[in-house]
Amino acid sequence: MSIDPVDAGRAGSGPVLHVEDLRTEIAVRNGAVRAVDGVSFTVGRGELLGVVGESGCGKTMTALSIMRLLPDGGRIAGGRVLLGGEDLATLSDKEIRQVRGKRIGMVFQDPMTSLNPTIPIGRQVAEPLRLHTELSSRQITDRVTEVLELVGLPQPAKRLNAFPHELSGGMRQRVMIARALACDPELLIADEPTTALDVTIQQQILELIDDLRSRLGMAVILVTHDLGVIAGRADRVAVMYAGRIVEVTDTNRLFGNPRHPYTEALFEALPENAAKTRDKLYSIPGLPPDLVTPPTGCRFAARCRYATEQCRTEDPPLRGDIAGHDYACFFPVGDPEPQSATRTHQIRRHDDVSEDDSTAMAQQAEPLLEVENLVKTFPVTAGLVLRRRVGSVSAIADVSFTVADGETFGLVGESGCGKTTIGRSIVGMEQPDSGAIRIGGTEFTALRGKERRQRQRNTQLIFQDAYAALDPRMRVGAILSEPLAIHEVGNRAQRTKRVHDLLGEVGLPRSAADRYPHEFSGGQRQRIGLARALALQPKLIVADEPVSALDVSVQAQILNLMGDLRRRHGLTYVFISHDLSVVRYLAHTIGVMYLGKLVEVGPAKAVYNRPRHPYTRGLIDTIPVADPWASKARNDGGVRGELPSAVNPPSGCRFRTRCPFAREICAEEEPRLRSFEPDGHRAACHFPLEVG
Amino acid sequence: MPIPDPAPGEPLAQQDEPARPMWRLVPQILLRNKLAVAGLGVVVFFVLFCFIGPLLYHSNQELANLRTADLPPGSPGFPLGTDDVGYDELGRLMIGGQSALEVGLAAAAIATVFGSLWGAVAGYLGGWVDVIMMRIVDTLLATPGLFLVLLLASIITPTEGLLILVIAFSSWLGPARLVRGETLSLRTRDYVQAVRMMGGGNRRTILRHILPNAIGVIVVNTTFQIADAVLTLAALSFLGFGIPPPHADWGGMLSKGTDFTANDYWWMIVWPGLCIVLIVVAFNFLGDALQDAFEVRLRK
Repeated sequence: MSIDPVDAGRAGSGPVLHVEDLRTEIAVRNGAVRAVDGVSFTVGRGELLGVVGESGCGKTMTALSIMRLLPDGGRIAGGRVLLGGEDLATLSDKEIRQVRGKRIGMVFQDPMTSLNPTIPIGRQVAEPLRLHTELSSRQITDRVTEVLELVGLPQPAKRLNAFPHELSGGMRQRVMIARALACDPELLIADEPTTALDVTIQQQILELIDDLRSRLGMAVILVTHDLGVIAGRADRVAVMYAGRIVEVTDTNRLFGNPRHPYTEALFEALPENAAKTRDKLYSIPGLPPDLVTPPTGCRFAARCRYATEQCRTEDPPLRGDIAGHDYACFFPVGDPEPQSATRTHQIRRHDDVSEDDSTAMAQQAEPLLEVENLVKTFPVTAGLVLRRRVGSVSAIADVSFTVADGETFGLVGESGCGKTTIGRSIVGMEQPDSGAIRIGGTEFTALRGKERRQRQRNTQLIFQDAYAALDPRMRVGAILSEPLAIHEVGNRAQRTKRVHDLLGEVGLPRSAADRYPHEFSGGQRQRIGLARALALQPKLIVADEPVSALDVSVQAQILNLMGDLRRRHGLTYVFISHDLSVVRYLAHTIGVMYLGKLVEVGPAKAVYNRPRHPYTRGLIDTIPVADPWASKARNDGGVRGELPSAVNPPSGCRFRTRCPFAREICAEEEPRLRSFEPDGHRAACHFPLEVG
Repeated sequence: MPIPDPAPGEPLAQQDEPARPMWRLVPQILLRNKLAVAGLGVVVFFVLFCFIGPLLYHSNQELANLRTADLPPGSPGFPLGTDDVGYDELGRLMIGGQSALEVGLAAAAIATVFGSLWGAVAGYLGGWVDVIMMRIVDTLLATPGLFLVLLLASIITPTEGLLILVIAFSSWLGPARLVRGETLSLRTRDYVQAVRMMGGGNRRTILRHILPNAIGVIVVNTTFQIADAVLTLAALSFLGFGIPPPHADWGGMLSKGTDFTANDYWWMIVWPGLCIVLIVVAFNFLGDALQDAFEVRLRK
């Protein structure tokens, strides 16, 4: 770069933030983790830079290094962080405090834990103003009201004294953003600001950040693991891997023509890209390298399908053929490949894709699982001793559906819509208030004791958090043989053999049996969870968000594995997820839930391509897609507002409070599920969307 | 048949964290704590002192000998002096410590096992079972412990075994409440839910999953229980409700020593008092350090 950024900063026309060769180390027992290793980038006024990468790649550490908010043992080992010409890395602790909250605002992932539950939100938003400005308390109140209004908190003046728990998750995140904006910072760093939020709220928060940066001319760094989140928002994107930026360019170019194999692999692992063909997803083999002793050469070489000897010995510099598109790779994707580099891992096609659908259709007549008029309400009690019943949460309100033998039924909806309660009822962990659940024709909600336990062998559950679902004090062998022991299957030797078989089924070595759950990575733990679910050879597996805690490349591995197991063992899945793109990839039939009601159900393609219910349409429009053109083309679609409380659900159609087409009848009469096509596509709406 | 996607090249364990089960990790962290090492040293010293000591150091503890009565420390043949009937203080401390350690360990073990089970069952089953079980605990807790023990000890003639039961009876309430609290949080964990879903019964869930995962609080509490039991035994003996003479124990020695404060026979009070304080403090150090050690493991 020819212009010295220091001078440029002083002149006021250069980048807001210029990071140069930033290196951050964190001391651990056996050395120092080089969490950020030579990262350089700039962000200009009004620019939104997206930083993407899988967990552990250093993206959060980069953000924290800019703020100098490193964890214990962390230090900036080299490089410069120039904010308007001032090097933040060399400031004293006192001086950097003048920068934090004033010139740089930060928004964290979880608005629940980053707000103090004991202090009203007005005072929390006022805190940076009190610290950094000389404003009078009158002026502070005015400013707080102003920023709260700016972030779209309804009736901000009235809510100054509200406590965080009185606000919804989305509103809390707005408050967090307001606090970050209070002092009019030059730079806003948002670290996974929407990961803890529902998809419909995520859309609103992203819109807000986007809108604010154009209105206020702030520079924004948006850190995320989700390619879809940045696609429609970011101007430029930096892809990080193992503490380094491996590719950086403007958004359209990155999504249109990724040059680094890692970026390419991330795209190929996305289920939405394979949803139409149901091809096997590409999954990046292996794990990111240990950053205590990073490998020589390209850090991605060990997992790269095009790596050559040169990649393993020489470190590729971050450079590009054309200005504005840099990548650290000797053999960028798309370039003519050298002789030795052949695509060894061509994406495998599955020949049974078409057959898949046809079998599902053929078996529609033979339902394995029938859920009929299921109702479940949870009492809301007050008082510790007497437990007065003060209300009830309607978790499932009269839901019926059937799942054919061998098919995958996807259940989607926002959190709190009752999808998890349905899953737990199916496996018998929740006792429904009324209604019937039949598996293979046998009603089992009425069964008790031993008979019920026997029945449960046929239905197993896979948990979202695989680690939490494995007893930390037990070895994997004991965990896997436990279901066998409970049901007294085989003797000790037979069980050991079965454990080894199960480990083989899910692609883990036998030696895994002697290890404890904490020794495994997230994806491996979910494999163990799958193995345990398979132990009793169930017919039906309920998977409750099995991949939502996983990185996209690991997610691909687990989805592939689930597909393989289904085909091999003739399993039937009920796949619960908030992520419509995952469900669309995997499921034959999709059910959409809203506030305890099943609002639409039908074949996956029909529901996705020709949604009849406005909520389904909105959900589809809201999911962030990793395609900048598509996300920018969608204007203002999506579900607005927030999920109403299930304690007092709206009368009539429960969706009417957020529905753009709601009329009087929607409040008065509850719509029934109606059939639209002979293939079983049904929706519950008075004014179903026309297919056009 | 499609082959499952292996997790190729994926190392089984994260290399930087070698496999270390808790029973190896906790002692390691413990040994880094100086207070814990000191506590452990004192405990080991007393075990050797009380059980090996009498084999090496022979002293008269059977026949009263008024010629050697009331000798101060440093008298020839009696390094720590003698008491009012001529028993050697050093030898008597050794024998007296035996019952302190035996009663302390046994009472704490019984109280912990029973209390933990009680608490785990109450917490896991919940509902009316929990209400009834915990009201029993509350009622007993509301009764002053020493009063209860004194009442029992005065009705029955105490032997060592009976004292163990009596002390255990008054001290299982603490672990019961503690483990119940822990169970309330453990029972909502996914892995406990998973066992229920597999069809596992209550017994398996409590014994295999709840209690092993509550082991941290249980072990820590046990060390404090031992210290408390040693103190309770000393207090009982001091008040004359301990094991009757000629049996020796520290509380009884202390009690007897107080009769001679006017005569300036300080050694009859200081030695047993010192022993009681040292062993109680040692177990408390150990408990504190264990607590830290378990927390370090959780932090990982």
